[in-house]
Amino acid sequence: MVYEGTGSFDEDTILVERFVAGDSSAFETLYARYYTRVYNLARGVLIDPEEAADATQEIFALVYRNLPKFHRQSKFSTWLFRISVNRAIQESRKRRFRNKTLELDQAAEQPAPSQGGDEPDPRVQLAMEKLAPQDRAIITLFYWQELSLQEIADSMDINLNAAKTRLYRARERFRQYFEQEPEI
Amino acid sequence: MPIPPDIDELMWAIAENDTPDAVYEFEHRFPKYQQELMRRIKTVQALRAQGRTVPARDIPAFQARPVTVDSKPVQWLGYAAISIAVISTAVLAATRNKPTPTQGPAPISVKAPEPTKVRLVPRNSPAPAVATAPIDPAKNPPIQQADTLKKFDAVIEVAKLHDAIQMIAMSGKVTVTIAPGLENPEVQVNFTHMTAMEMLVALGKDYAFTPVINGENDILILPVKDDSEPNEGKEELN
Repeated sequence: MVYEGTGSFDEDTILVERFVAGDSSAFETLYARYYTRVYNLARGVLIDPEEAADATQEIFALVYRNLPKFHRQSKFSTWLFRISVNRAIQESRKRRFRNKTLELDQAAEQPAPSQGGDEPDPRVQLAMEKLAPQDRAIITLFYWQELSLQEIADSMDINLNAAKTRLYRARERFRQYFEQEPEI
Repeated sequence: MPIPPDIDELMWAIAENDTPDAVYEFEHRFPKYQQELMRRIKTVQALRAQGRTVPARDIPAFQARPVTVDSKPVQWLGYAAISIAVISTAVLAATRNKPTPTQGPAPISVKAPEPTKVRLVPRNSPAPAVATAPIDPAKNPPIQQADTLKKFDAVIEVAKLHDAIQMIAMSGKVTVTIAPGLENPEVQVNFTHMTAMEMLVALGKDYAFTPVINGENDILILPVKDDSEPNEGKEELN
């Protein structure tokens, strides 16, 4: 059975406990439940669908390895998003370091294997590409994942005011870049 | 002309909620920002449309593959270790007993040692007494303890008590074990220049718990408020 969207804290905690106790099917349930959100977060930060799909697998591999160390002090989803944000930003920096520039028009033509029916808006993509990875992460968490500011703060390991300020600044930068792009 | 911050914020709020009544109301109150509001609504709509979810049927099977590790930090550590080794060797060579004038300069061969083997060798000449004095481990605790005694600031606007305790512990590089029975209300924390233990003691006074040292770098949180004042102890002794 595939779950979509946010799992409740209790359900996730039970699944984590089951996985730690040796039930690998519990991880599969967590994976199915959160794959979409993690993938979308990675895609928001990395923009390229294939890189996002790769990053998503790496994120879940990290989670798989580190789940026994998860202390249940926060919600599983918060912990997962924190790993996802960090990993996606890290991947984005590596990509920039490798100077692998993304051809946006190609990206629009190359759907990832997991990306059925997605039609990226080139203006949004161009504007997102101009943002720093941290800005892309916070915009993705707010507009795509629809997390609250407190959840974003928890996921990015910052306080609420910092999350608010970063979101406002990122949004303003996005708006400027977006409006610079000619309408198609 | 810049948009006043309150109107700017209001426009974002309306754009994000996109409620026709709110749009209508705003346009009547601030007609000159009508176009700006429309632009923002379009911006938010375009942004949200981009975040459409992946259909569940397309989720690939999970493969627990090894995580790739960026080798750059390792490379930089290697470079740093080699640099330190070269500098150390050069410094040692320069400060060793100088050769007699009749001797020609000895060729210096610099080998890059293993990073873990880099260590400074004392000079041939007698070193000052302070540097060679034997160190009594009992009087000189390991440097690691300095971290746990480190003072720092902690500001938590709103968090559950258990989370706040864990955050303080993490910042103070100690581990905490919370005994069952401690309530978990929402708390605010604002401590300045205190150790983790001092913060936990202060927090415990407000939230009915007592932190107890439970071994090296480990603190046990007992849901019992320690109301005893130093004076009370003295009275008992008397």
